Amino acid sequence: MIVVVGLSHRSAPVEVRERLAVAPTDLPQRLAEVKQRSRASELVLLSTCNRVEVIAAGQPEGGETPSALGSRIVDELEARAPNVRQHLYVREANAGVEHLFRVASSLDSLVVGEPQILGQLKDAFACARMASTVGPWLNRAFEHAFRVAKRVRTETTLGTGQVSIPTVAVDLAREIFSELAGHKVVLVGTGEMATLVATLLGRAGAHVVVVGRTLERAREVAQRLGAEARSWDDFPALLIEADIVVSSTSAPGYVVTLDQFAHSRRQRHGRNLFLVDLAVPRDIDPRITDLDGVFLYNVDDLSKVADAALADRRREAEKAAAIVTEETEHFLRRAHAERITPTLVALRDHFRATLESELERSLRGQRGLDDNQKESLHRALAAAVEKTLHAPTERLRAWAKDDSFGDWHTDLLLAAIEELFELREPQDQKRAASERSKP
Amino acid sequence: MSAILWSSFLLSGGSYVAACALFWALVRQRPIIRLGPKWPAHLLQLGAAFQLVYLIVFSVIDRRCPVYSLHTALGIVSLVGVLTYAVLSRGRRLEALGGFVAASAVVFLTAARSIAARPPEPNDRWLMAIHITSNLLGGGVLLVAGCAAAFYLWNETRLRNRRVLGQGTKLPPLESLDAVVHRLLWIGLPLLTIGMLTGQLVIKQAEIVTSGDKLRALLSTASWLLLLAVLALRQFARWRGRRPALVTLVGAIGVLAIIALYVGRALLGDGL
Repeated sequence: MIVVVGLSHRSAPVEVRERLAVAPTDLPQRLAEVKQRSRASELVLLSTCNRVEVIAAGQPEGGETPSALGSRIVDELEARAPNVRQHLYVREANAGVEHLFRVASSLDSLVVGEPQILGQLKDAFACARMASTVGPWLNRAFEHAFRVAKRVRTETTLGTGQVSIPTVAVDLAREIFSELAGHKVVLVGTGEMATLVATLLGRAGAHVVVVGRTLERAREVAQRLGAEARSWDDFPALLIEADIVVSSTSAPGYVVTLDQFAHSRRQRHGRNLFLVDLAVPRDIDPRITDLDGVFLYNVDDLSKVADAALADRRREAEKAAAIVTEETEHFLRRAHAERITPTLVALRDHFRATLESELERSLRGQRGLDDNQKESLHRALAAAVEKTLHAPTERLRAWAKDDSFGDWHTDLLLAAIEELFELREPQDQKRAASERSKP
Repeated sequence: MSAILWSSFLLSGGSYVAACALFWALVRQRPIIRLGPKWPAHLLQLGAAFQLVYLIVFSVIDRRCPVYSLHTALGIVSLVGVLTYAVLSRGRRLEALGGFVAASAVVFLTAARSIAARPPEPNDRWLMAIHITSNLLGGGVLLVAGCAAAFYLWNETRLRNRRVLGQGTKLPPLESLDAVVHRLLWIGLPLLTIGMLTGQLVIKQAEIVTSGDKLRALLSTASWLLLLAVLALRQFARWRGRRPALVTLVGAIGVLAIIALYVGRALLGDGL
């Protein structure tokens, strides 16, 4: 029985999310508190900038419903951050498992396919293990969630391809230059998007030079980027040295003309040049693209690449969702099949105990048997129990795993076995029956 | 012996085919089966290992130095290509090139299988051995250089025309391909030079010189001049990018044509 209670970028604005957020250093203490107050048997607390979630498991044998556990967690969160209740969602049982798998696979992320969430989920799980708030249920569920995330990453391209103009520009630069480190980027103008492109290129190791009509403004931007500022007069010389030019000025005409570029081209000795023109009206003469070794992309070109990647990502998200659904069913089927284990163990113990006591009683009257003979009788009896129960055990396991039989079929059989062999007390049987109907 | 020969041939071909499929899947980011990204390269190397076994066993059965048998000579070309790729691909994103190398290896392996002709024993065995060996090694290296140049031209045209590939498709960066072509020319051209010079000596010693021999000598000189021009222009005029890739491709095609003519002569007789 898994319950997920939380809020995310879908259900709550940042000012609400931040009220419930937990700092990594406070996580162990908060885990212990929530576990104690919600009376959950197992608990993991996930706190990222986009979501705060409590993933809990109740006592399967405790007769507790998932909604009761969910309500207690909601109350606990409400007590911590008043008026948060309306933003909280509660996913119980099957929906809880599916939600966990979706989160791990980055299908529920703000940017679908982003890889950070899996690492954050692994950290949250590791922290809960350290705090000893994880038991068999969450252990199984989280291990399976990590496998699902891996499968989604391997079988789809959800995490690849860029969907914003700056990241598309950086990706294209990587298709031209193997390593961006050591390459020179010239940022012409101080437009927001161009600055973002230059920032990303700088982070990838490129040397960024900012050029502006006014040196003061160029210095200001350069300082923010950790780059070098140069005056506009240096631009022709920079055009010779540059590998990437990102331009976004508000100039009414071309800032880089064909003549100007043709002049510097001779001194470039055939090195490739990637030109990113993010200005409207355009800064770079489009005729430059006819020259060898020049790759010119304007806003429309970059948007087309981003749109194609976005469409691909949507298709991949559908594939990933199908994988999550399949894996959820698989997990629940396995979990359901494992629920017959306590009854089978009880049945075996019951048979063994009954026969052992009968054997003990018979042996008491036998004086001619030595210890070895008695031991072999005990062994024969244990083997007889195993053989007798082997076929029913296997059949029960097969039925529990088989989808064509409904859950009720297995529940009915288990209830019948427990009733016929008096494996539980009457009140326990009622509780167990109600519990079995909720995964 | 023949069981080892056949099984190594089949295992080599199978490994190359599997490597080719996995490389392509890796480039397209559409995995066929759940395997790590290093598997295609490992399979390619495994194919090369099996091919080496095959070539050794074949030479033992044939009782001939591998360079005197067309069958094994063609195998050596593809083997050199695979080994060249294995060395070059370290630390570079050249998976797409790996797919082409694996495909060429399969073609060479199966093409060699269909050639059973034994060329006549040469008069000067050492000269001939040097001539064939340097041509085979040079041919293998230039085969990979030609593949890299073709890839450069394709990817460059795509980027210039702003054609969008499928999401996640990974092609080698232009700068890497340019560097690979340049490096391979430095390795391949000296080998080709030795092959060409020894070839001239072989022709001089030969009693009969066929039109095929003359054509091969002409092609080899033309290819050699083209590749030398690329290297010289790169070195002194700092040629980069599209033009050297184009000329390298033409030169590599010329070298492959020489190998094709040699194979053709063996198949069709000395008329070529």
